[in-house]
Amino acid sequence: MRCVGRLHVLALLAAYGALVVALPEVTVSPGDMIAGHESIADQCFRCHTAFRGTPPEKCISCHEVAAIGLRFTTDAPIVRSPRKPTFHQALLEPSCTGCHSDHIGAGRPGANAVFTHALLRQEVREACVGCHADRTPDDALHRAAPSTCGSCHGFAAWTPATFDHAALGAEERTACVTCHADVRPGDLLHRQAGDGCASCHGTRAWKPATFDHAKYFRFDRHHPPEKCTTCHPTSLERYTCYGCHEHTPQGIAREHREEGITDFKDCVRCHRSAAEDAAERAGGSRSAHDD
Amino acid sequence: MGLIPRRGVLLFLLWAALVVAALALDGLLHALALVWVGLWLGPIGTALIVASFVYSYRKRGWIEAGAPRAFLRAHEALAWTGALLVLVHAGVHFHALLPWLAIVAMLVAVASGLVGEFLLATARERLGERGRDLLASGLGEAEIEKRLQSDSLVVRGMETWRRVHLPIAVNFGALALLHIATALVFW
Repeated sequence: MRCVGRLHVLALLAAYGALVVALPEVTVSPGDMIAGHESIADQCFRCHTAFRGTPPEKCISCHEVAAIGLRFTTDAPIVRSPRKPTFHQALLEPSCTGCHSDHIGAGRPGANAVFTHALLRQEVREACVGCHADRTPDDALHRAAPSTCGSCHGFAAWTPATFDHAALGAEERTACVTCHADVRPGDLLHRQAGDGCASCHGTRAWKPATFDHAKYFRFDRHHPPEKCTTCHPTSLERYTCYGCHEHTPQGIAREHREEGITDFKDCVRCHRSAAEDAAERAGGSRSAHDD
Repeated sequence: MGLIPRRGVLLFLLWAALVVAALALDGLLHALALVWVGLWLGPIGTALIVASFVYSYRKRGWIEAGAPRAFLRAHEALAWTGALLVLVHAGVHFHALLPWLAIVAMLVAVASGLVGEFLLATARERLGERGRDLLASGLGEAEIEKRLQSDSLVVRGMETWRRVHLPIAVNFGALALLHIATALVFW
């Protein structure tokens, strides 16, 4: 009985084995061959080596590495777009199946053909313009930037880039508007602030900005931040407190003289807010300004 | 009478659940971009199925320790889980005939196993009923055991099923073996 069982197994293996040998493309092929390889569909061992997969030597025997991307296997030249540079000659090591699958079915042809810069030799990988010369933007930033794209851009995509202003020369680093003129706000503050963006803004982001008006004078409902020209009628670098009926030169002079204060030209030196009692705190002792 | 069809339905559901769970797992792997995991579920599932044959060793007496019923439960659980992993490994790809023949053979083997489970449970039930009847008729324990062993209907039923289940399993084994061999050759 056990002998019959073994014969049964052997007979099945022999029958199915014969089917595999006779019709490999039907029984074991994971999919039809891609265009150009249809003629070798039933010659599995043209590409496969038993138990070793598809070593690159098999591919290279037809597809000479030096010619990949440049000439067909028929030796006819390949007309290429300059945006598709050849790179097979610069690979760290030949590993055709790392990117290519010649069977449709287990995966579309080229479905797993994802180019990665990690496949390239280091010196080629770092020489970005060797392949991407046509992609270098002709703007002020890129003209001023160093030639090593990798200091800002990653290998996966051009954006997002991680630009570091430290990569710029000292002169370019302070000339913010050379690159950022288009994002400069049109309000009075920024119109009059000049080109010294760095006095308020950092190089990582525009916000948060460090300009703090309260450091000079604290806003309140009678001194709102929107009405710059009330206090700064000519320039943001200059101010006057006599812009409204509350503060007339005569009234201010009288009030200060009554208290014995004679030096009251620079109001914010003592008055950092509209609060009456804030003057002492901000300006220290009144005696310093008194007669 | 009501118990038997219900058990049959449950066993069919267990078989259907195998296919549904495999499709769900396969979908999940695709959604999580973990399709490569499926490749390795094949060897793991095969190992579980092979491990499930430990029941055959216990049944033939090559292993003497342990309750046969526990081995049977282990056989069922390992074979079902192994089959599930192999189904996920196969995915829904239709091209090469050999792996698909192996998959069909595996599903038939699982179905056959579930039929065996159904027959075994029915046989146990029938033997229990018959034993109670014989006990009620006043027969001694030795006589009852003798009569139960010769209950030809139950014994013949299980033997017939075994004669079918083994070749089905062997057929699946042969196809799986060839698939593994060709996969290794054309790695």
